[in-house]
Amino acid sequence: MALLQIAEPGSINEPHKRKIAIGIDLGTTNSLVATIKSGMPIVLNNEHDEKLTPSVVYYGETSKIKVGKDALKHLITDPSNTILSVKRLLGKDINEIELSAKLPYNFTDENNMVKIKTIQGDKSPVQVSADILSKLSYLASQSLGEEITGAVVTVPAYFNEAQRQATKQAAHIAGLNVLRLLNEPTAAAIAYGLDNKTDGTFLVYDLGGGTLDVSVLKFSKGIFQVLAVNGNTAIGGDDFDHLICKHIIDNQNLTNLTKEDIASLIQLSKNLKEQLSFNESLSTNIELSSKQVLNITITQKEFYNLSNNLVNQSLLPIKKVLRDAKINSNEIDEVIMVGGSTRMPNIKDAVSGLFNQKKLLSSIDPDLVVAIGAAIQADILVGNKKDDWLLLDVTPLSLGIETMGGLVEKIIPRNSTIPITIAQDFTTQKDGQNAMSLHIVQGERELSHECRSLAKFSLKGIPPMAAGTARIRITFQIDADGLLSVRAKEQTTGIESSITVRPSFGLADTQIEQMLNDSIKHAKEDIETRMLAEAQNKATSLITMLEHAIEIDGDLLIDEEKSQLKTILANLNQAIEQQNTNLITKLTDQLTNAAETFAVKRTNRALKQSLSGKTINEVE
Amino acid sequence: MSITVTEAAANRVSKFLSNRGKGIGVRLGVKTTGCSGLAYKLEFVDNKNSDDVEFESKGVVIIVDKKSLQYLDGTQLDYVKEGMQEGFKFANPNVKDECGCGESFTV
Amino acid sequence: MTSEELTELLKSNSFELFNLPIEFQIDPTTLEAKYHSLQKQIHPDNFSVNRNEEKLLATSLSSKINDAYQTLASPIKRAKLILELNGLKINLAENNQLPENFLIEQMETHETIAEANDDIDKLDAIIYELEQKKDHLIAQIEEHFVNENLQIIVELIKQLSFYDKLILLVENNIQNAL
Repeated sequence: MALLQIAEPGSINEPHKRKIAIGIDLGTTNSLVATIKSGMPIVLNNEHDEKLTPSVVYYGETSKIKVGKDALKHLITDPSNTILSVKRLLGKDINEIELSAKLPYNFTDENNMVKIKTIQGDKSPVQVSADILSKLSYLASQSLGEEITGAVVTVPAYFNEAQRQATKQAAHIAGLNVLRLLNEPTAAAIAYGLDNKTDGTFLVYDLGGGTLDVSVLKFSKGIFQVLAVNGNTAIGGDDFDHLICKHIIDNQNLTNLTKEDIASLIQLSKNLKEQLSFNESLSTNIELSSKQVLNITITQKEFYNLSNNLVNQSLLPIKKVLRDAKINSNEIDEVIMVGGSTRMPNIKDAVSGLFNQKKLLSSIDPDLVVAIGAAIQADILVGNKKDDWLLLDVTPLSLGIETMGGLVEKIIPRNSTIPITIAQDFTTQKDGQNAMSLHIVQGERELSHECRSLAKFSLKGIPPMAAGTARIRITFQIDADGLLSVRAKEQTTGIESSITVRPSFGLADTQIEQMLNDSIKHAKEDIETRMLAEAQNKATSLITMLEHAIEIDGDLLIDEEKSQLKTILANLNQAIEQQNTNLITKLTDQLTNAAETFAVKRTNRALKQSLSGKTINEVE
Repeated sequence: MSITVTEAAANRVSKFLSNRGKGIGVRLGVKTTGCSGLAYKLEFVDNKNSDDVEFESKGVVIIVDKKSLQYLDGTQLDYVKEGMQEGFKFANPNVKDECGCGESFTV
Repeated sequence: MTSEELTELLKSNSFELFNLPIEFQIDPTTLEAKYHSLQKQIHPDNFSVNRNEEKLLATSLSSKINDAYQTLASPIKRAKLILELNGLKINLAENNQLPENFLIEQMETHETIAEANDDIDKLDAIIYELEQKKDHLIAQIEEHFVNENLQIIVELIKQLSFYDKLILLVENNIQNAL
C-alpha cells in the first residue's frame, strides 16, 4: 500500500497517476538515491537504514549478486570478486586503467573492451555500474511503493563523452528511464541555490572518492548558468588512502603481500585517513596473512606532509576554472564544498586559502548534497513542478576533428553552453577524392593523438571534383545531457552520413542490446506476472465490493443498470480466469465507470443514514 | 464535526510547510475516482475557497471543502513508517471498504 | 509553443530570434535578459514530458539560441552577421590586404608572447594590451557602421580576428603555465 504525500495545489493527484522521479548519485565510493516527498527533497534509506550505499558489487560463487554493505563484507576474504571504485574504470581503455591506481583485479581486454574477471564471468565496468544502479532503483521503488517514472543520474562535470555514454548505458541496462545526466557540482549548486534562494556566483569544489570537479556557476533571476568547469578525473579521496597505504608498506619494508593483505591495508588506510581529520595521532595494528602483526602509528602532520602534493594538484582546477570563467577569486560569493573528502582539514585550509581565507559553505551534508540536487532536477524534468528556474550547463572539454597532419580543428570549444549545434565546412584534399574519413576527438591538445579519440566514421560517395571544391559540412550537436552526435553532408550532392558517438572502446550497440535483452527478459517476465497479479487483485476487490453493495443497496439500481453491471461482472470473472491482463484492466475500468452513479447514490444514502442516526448534539 | 492530526503528522506538515516557504495549511479532500468510487486528496493550501471549512489540530491548519467533509468527518491524519515507506495515512471512520492501494475507498 | 511556431523560429536569423534591430550597438544587459527569457521558454527541459519530436525540435532551437547569443555577444561575429545580411561575405582566411604595419605589429606581439614564456603576470599584461587594442578597433567599427562604410569594416574585422586569436593563444599559455 502506498502512503500519501502532500501534493502541490492543483497538481496531478489521482491515485496511481503521480509521477515518481528520483535522483541518483552514482559515486566512486558510495551511491545514493533521493526523491521529493511532500515538496521536500529526501535521501532514501537502504535496507540497513543508511543513506550511503557502498558502490561495491560482489560476484560470489552462487549466481547471486550482492551490492553495498553486504558486498563490502567480502572485500578482505575475496578481493578479486569484490568490485569497488568501478567508476574509476568507466569509459576507459586498458592503458588508462593501468595508468591509474593499482587495482587488485584481473582484467581482460578484447577488442578494446575492458572487463574484470570474476567467478561469475567477465564483467564490464558498465555492467558493474548497472548492478549498482539496479540496486538503487529497487531501493527507491521499495521505499516509495510506486513505479519510478524517471531518474536523473549524476556524473562528474569533467567526465568526457566516453564516460558519459558509459554511465548512460549502465542506467539503460539497469532499466532506468534517464531523464538527464546531471553534472555533480551543478547538482550541488542547485541544492544550495534553491535552499538559500539568493542570487550570486558560486564556486563548487567537489572532491569525491575518485574524481575532482570544480565549477563556477551564476544564479540569477531563476537561471542557473554554469560559466565554466574544470577538474581531474584521476584525483579523488581514494588517492589519499593509497598514499597512507604506500607509506605503511615503505615504512615497514613489506614485501610479498597477498591481494587480501593489500585490500585490508587499503581499508585500514581509509579508516586512518578519516580518523586523522579529528585526531592528531593514531596507533593501530593489523595481522597479515603471514600472521605477521604490524604496529602502525601515523600522525596528522605526517599525513599532511604525505598528501601535500596531492592537495596542491587539486587546487589547480580552481585556478584554471576561474581563468576560463573570466572571474576573480574575490568575485565568488560562496565556495561550496562537496564530497566526503572535503571533510579533510588540510583540503579545507588549502581551498579557503585561495579565497582570502573565506568561510567555506558546507551546511548541506557534503555526502548527500549531490543526490538532493539530482532529485530536485528530476522532479522538475518529470513535470511535477512548474519550472520556476532553468539550468544552463556547459560541455567540459573541447570537441574537434582531426585534420591534415594529425592536427585538431576545434569545433566546439570547452565551456560552451549546451545544447549546442555547430556546423563547419571542410573540403577534399585530392582531385577526384570520393570518400572522407572523419576522426572525432575530445580534449584541449593540438595533436589528435594527444586527445581522446571518440569515434571514426566516413562519408562515402562524394562525386569526383577538383581538390578543394567539394563542400563537406560537418555538424556537431551536443544535447542537454552533454552527449554528442555528428553529421556530415556533402553540400552540392546532399550525400549524408551521421553517427551518434560511441566511445571507440566502449560497448558496441549489439553488446548493449544483448545485455539489455538478458536483463529485460527477466524483468519482463517479472513485470508481466506482477501486472497480472495487480490487475487481478484490483478486479477481485472491486467485484467483491460491488456484489456486496448490490446485495445491500440493490434497490437503488434500475433493472437496466443492474443487468449491465451483472454482464460486465460476468465478463470480468471470465477474464480473471483466462489470466488476460489487458482484458481484466479494460473491464475493470468499464465496471468502475458503470458503477459510478451507483457509488454516488450509495454514498448519499449512507450519509443520510449516518446523520439521521445521530442526535442533534452530535451533529452540532 | 472534526478533523484531527496525530503528533507525528503535525510535525511533518509543519516541517514540509516551512520548507516550502509558503502556504497556510494542508488540504484534505476526496474526489470520485479510483477503483472504489472515492479517493483521498492531500495538498498544500495557498488560498482558501468560499466553501472551505477550517480546522486546527496540534497547531496545524486543516482545510476541507464542505463536500469532502461529509466523507471525512472524524478522520485523523497520521504519519507512519511502514517497512521502507514513510507517508501520510487517513484513519477515516466512515470507510467501509478500501481498495488494495489504500488511496481509494467507499463509505 | 506549438511545433509549427518552433519550426518557424528555426529559420530566423540571430537578430530576429532575439527580436532586436539589426544594429552593431547592443546593450549586453538587455541581450542577456532576452537570452534567459528565450531559454526559459524554449529549453528542452520544458519539453521533457512531451513527445520525442518536440523535444528534438526544442533541442535544435535551444542550440540555435545559444549560438545566436554567442554571435550577438561577440563584436566580430555580430559585425560579420550584419555584413552578411547586407550581402557581404567575409573570408577571414583571406588576409592579403592587411596593412604592413599591422602585420609587423602582429609579429612583434608573437615575439613578446614567446619571451614572456610562462610568466603569468607578463602574459596577463599582454592580454590587457590586446584587449585595449580590440576596444579601439570595436569603437572604430561602430563608427563606420554609423557612416555605412561597410568595406572598411570588412578590413577591421579581419584585424579584430587577429587580436582574438592572439588572446586565445595567450590564454592557452596561461592555462598551461598555471
